[in-house]
Amino acid sequence: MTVATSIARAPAARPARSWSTRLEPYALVLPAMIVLAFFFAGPAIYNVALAFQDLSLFDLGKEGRWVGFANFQEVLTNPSTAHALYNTAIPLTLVTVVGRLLLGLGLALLLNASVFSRWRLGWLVRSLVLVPWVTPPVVAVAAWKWLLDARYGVVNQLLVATGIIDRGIPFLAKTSTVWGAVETMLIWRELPFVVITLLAALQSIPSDLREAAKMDGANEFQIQTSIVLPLLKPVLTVITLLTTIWTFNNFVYVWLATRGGPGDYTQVLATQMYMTSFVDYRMGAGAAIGVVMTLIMFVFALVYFFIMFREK
Amino acid sequence: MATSTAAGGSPVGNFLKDLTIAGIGIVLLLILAFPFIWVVLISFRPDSEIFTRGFKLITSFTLENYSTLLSGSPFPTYLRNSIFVCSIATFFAVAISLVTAYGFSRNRQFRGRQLLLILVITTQLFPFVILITPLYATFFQLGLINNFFSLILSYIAINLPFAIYMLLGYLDTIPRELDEAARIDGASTLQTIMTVILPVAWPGVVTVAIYAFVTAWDEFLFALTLMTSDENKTVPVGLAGFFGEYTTQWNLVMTASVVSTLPTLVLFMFLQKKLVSDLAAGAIKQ
Amino acid sequence: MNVKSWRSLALATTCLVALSGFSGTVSAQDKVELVFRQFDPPTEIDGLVKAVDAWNASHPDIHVTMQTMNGADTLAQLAREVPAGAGPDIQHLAFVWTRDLARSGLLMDLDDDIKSDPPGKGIDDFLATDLATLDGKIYGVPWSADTFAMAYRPDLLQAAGLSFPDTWDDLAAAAKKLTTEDGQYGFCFPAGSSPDSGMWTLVNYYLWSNGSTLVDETSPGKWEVTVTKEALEAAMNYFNGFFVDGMAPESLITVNAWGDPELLGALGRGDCAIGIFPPQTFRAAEAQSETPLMTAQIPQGSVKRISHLGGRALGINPNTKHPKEAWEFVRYLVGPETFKTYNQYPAQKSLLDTLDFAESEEGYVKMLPLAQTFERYISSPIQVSTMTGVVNKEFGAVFSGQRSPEEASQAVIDELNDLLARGK
Repeated sequence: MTVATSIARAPAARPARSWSTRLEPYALVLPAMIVLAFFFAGPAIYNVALAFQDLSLFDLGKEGRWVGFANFQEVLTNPSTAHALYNTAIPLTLVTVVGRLLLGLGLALLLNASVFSRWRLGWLVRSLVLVPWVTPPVVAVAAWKWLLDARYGVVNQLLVATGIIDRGIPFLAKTSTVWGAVETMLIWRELPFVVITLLAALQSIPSDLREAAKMDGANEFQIQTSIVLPLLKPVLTVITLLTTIWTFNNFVYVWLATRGGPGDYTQVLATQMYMTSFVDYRMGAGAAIGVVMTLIMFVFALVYFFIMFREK
Repeated sequence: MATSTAAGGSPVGNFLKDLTIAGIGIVLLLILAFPFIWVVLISFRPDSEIFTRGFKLITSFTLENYSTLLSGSPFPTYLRNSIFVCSIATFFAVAISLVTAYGFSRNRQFRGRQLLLILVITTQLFPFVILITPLYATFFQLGLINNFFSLILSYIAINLPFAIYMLLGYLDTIPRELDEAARIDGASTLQTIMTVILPVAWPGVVTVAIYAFVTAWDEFLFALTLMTSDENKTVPVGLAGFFGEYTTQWNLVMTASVVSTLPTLVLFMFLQKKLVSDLAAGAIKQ
Repeated sequence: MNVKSWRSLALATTCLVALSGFSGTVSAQDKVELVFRQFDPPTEIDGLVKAVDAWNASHPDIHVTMQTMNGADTLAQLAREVPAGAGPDIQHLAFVWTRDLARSGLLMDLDDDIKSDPPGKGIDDFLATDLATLDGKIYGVPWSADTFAMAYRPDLLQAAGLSFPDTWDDLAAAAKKLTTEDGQYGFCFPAGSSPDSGMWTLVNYYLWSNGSTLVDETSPGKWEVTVTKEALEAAMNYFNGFFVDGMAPESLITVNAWGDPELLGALGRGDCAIGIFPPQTFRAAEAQSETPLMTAQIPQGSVKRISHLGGRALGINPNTKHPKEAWEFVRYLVGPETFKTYNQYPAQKSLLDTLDFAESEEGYVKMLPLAQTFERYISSPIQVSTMTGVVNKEFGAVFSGQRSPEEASQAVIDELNDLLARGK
């Protein structure tokens, strides 16, 4: 059962329960709801309210001047917003999410092979996979910048040595390669999460299912597609949804790698929001960008659930 | 664990197949880990040789960066703070989300279920950089600024939504018969969760625990805003402190990165055997 | 683990957490505790730490704790803390923030203290007090001053038979001669597009020295964009020329920070013959270089030779419970004792005159009297940080081939006009 249907489907009626059993679900979810309400409810309302004000960073603790929809109007008519939206949706989110899913699935399937457990290498592969993820983002980006350096980076040195190119390419300085470089950094660091999650899910697939299929004469490929993948679907669904939202809102990779440059070529919505709030000092306009991002993701999540629900 | 024995084929053929798979896997992983390995190598170089003309893998070897970091800088304090905050936050995040996910998973028609689940996911949609301002004001009024309690609470809150969803997905795949068997034996809900569900759901719990720990460990904005005195800083804030407007202590940055990955790796080594579920071994076919 | 031990573990953890809530030392009743927040990284503050320790040793009744927080984050933090009633007692400020902070009530008015208990040799001895003044009152005491200077490898210039170039055109010509086949570039500078990129400084040096300025108050209260499209195009073509003619490595287009390894170690490694640095960065570059480095003046334009006067000031939190003691500490920080160990240039004329500069820093010595603050922009309706963002972005667009200098210069002028119109 996918999480989506978990939310959407109304199950068959059950026999009447006692009072305390009926209250039980509320008791179970209450602590989490209290924490989340305290944390997100008030601040979210503040966020939305801020989007309708004109407030300078220097006046942050106070109330601003109410300007109605002026901030939204400005954000939506600004040509750089459209540019940032495109960048956020396609090179930043779509490409890296798909990249992570494909590479992550491939790597998880490979690492799930029995040889690793039979040769007692399970700990090694699971730990090696985690390495990019434990690297702090600022160090990951700095390391990659140096690996991609036009003169000293190992990537260019390899490419030149094998004759593919004759001089080093400054990947982050050229508009033709800068997104590739940023995407590489992001996928590199975030891939382990997908792999680990999928590995865990793969480990939960009962081995008797595989045995049965093998005895029925299925080859490896058929086993993967008709047994393994469908069983992975719930986990894949959740990962896709959450990584998409998280990547869409992501600020840190673009900011650390390029600051939205060269020029404003790699500007995304999150960096635009940051610059509006902390460089232009206009918190209200920045909050408006944030609200627009939230709405886009909210619509996406609804559409996503709808599609997933439909398939059942 | 996929324990399929290699059915059919010669022992040599199977061995070669094993070797290929293992070889490809490990080589791929080493390539994946290379940037970090490079950072580790750099941390053993003297400051002046950190960036060299031409890509050299090994130059001279020194431990001076580590001794500077560990005895000549406040970094060990930051490390302690991070370990303290992140461990506690992870524990509670996992515990609360497990109970909550169980509540959502096993009770599918209580009023407001759908709404609550949607609200949970909407919390992920707001950028923290704006949420932090009213949160600062609230914590300040509660007198919790520069107090680890506020940071721990923040990290629990940040991790709950994802943890709840992931665990909900995992728990949904665990058959109800297990619960009901326990209840017939007279177990309360909490006992059921601990004794029956938890052992079977370990892979999901471990995944969530690792994710929560890493998220809390890397978190910068809340740690910066809520912990204002130098001795209460966490690792990411301390790391950022090595970057100045005019100069950066790259040797310490690299070394600190290596040191700060150790707790996460240790935690993972400790937990990763639990990624193997009893479920796969057919434990439930009774 | 069974349920019982989980429960006790949970209980123990909760107690631990609750106890941490009660953490915090109880300070002695008679001791005044001050918090001083500054934003330089550990490498740059050894001398300052010594000075603070010296204060604490000689003032047992006034104890100062120093906190460090990154400059970029400090502003937002102050904006959250001060209205809530919190914040450090004494705050390290950038010159360009002081007026904005004062306008929002985040700094204490220091006029009375300055009159009754003057700092240093009197407030008139201080540089750049105009930037700290709002409505005739002073809200920050200038503490350290700096300007930028060219840096170079004397041996490489000598080998090419060159003396240090005097004008911008001379610089381009020298850079061409100094660019060799084996990976040595003539001139290296931060050409990044970020709002915090050093390109802004270079652009302004070029424009000002050629008689232009981005915006100016043409008549009282009326601000206009005074830079011409031609002047901007000339600047863009000039700096882009370094990349087009290969005198600077293309990867510099991504470099924003003065202290970036591509720039900092470049002179020492022989990757660049000439660079440009702030004083702290130059000192770090010298430390990393085996061959000696020298500084020189900023190149002259058609009108003059000029650089900007930047620096830091000290402000006091209006929430402070100990304004008198805080002021005493500020006076100490700007006093000669502190500058004995704190290796920044003091923002006071009398102290600058008595300072012993290292020989290699003569470029800075020569530029300080010529330096002018960004006051020319700060009084305008546009935030300087926004202007910086616009200029850096458009120059970056030119460097990366996204726009021609004609288009980019027009874009700058259009955006500046829009911003002026939107401002007050």
